[in-house]
Amino acid sequence: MSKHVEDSADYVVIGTGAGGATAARVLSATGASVILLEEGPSLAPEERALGLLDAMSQSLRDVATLATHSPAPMPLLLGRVVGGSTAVNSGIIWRLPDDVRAEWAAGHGLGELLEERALDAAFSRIEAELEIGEVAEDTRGGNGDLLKAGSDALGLTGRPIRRNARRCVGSARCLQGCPHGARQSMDISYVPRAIAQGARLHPLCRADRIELDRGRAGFVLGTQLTADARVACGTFRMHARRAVIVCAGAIHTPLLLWKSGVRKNVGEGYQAHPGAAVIGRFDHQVGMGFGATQAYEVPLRDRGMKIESISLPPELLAARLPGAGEEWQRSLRKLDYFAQFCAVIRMRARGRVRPSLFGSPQVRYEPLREDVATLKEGVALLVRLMFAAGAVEVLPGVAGVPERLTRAEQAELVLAEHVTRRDIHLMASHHFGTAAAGASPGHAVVDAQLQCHDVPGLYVMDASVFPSNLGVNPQHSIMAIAYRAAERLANVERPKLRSLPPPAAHASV
Amino acid sequence: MRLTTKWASELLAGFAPASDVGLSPLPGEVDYTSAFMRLRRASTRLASFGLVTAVWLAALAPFWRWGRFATISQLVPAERAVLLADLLRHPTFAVRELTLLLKLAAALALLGTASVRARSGYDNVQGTRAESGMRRRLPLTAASKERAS
Repeated sequence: MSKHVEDSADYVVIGTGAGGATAARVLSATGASVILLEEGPSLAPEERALGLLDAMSQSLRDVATLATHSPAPMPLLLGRVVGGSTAVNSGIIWRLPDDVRAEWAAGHGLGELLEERALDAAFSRIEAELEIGEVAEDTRGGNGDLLKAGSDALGLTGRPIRRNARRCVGSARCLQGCPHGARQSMDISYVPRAIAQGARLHPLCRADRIELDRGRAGFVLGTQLTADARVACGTFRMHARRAVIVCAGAIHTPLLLWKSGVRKNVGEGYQAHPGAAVIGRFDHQVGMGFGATQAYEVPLRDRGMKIESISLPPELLAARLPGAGEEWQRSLRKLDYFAQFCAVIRMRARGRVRPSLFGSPQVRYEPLREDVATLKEGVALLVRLMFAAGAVEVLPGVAGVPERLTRAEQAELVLAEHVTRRDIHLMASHHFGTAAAGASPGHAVVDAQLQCHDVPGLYVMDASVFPSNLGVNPQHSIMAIAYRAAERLANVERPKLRSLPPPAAHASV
Repeated sequence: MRLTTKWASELLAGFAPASDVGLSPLPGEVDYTSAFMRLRRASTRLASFGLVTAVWLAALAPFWRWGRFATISQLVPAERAVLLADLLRHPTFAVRELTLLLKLAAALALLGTASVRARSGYDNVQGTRAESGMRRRLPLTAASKERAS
């Protein structure tokens, strides 16, 4: 039966990922009323499925089959669950790099938002609240140990990854959703905290359109969905007395703005951090099934890339092993002997996001020639790292290159002229720039307060507002910038409300 | 669509036929049809179309690849595996990528079966840390509770 729900609050926040949950946590702490809308379901840790198909159906948009519209489509990983992508990522924490902060401040007029001391205070507060710490040695797992061994052998400087999961028990299930609730993703941390402060969460509610109320963004209209988040079962209309805050991510935020009639510069300038991975087979057990999913990293920002260990669920590992029939089945019998490292590339290419005829996102994006060169360099380095770590054979997963390499010198084959973008499998999990912030309305969608240049009361607080990609994992930067923007919004809109208490006064959720 | 589903099941099973070598599912142990259908339903329109295209492309491959007037159904299991391995290494990007999509579906079905996963060795290395024991459910609005149930 079709139903209609109405609700109203000072702020309506669309999306419960890094941006939305943080904004809700800040605004609700000031005493303001907040509605949180989320298209996906609310899942308790123990409801997270072990099997990948079940887990992806629960919490990944379109089971990760949404891909770029390009000659070689690139799958886009997007969480669609309370907690957004923070509920299905590895919880990697990096502060906004200084060079990026300086570029955004000088080149885009964001100096006040990114004021160094205030932003650092936001980072520090978030780090205190979300149990940030390095992956401990006893949960690094065999995969992380091997990347450390490989990078040490090649003289590269690596380090244990900093994550929001100090209580990680090493179940290697970050990508399916932590079954122990150890990772402080937004569904475990800031969403419950906002609710405890009075926010109201509406899961399975997809925002379809934002409407004006007396010249300001005032209403969010949308569709209620059934438990699988795929079938419409009702409608809703939420009234925002002070502001609507869109935090649907850099793919769906521009879609919502576009459908709401906000189109100038929207969807332009899309950037990503595509990644490619290489598998190695060892003559001893590695055990990807234990350890933090991502435990060790080798930052190479000056070379436009970052190397990470990344454990795969058995289904994805199996799909990556070459061949069919007996050749494949032999590999499947010893899944615990494989390791995987990935290279995440800070690509220069820019693309565009627009709604398709069916209303779904159409992402046009294709790496530049220089991006492909960096990518090939990254894959070749992965091959060398694997051999340096002791792999007996390496499976580069590059068409036109032998499926099984047995010597480190063969890494050079990846760099050959005939290897093109289409020969390397890429996946993108970090998305940026489709509602860029900037002081100039001619080039940006939102201003330095993250309010739309063209619509008062309409804010965007997710990675859409980033004028460029970062070269590091963006979750922490999204949270800190949303934190700053929400604080400033609270002070502008309700100056008489009590201000936020200092960091030490905040208890962890 | 019935033919597509039949071929899909035969193709997905073709990646890991009954064998004495390596990981081999027992007869009826893996539900490939259900996995294929679920994947199709949950995918984007384009990916769903891609899956169907992949099935037809591979099912008719004995003809366009080997010149035999046969579909995948007429091949014995060992031949199906040889054909699929050949398609995975095809020089044309679209052919190998569509076949890889089928292999992904096969892997989701195969390793998504608990008994098969247990035999794969993936979970052989056990952790050393005790569980944190955290359990939490978020309070929902009344309407949301009703829909979730």
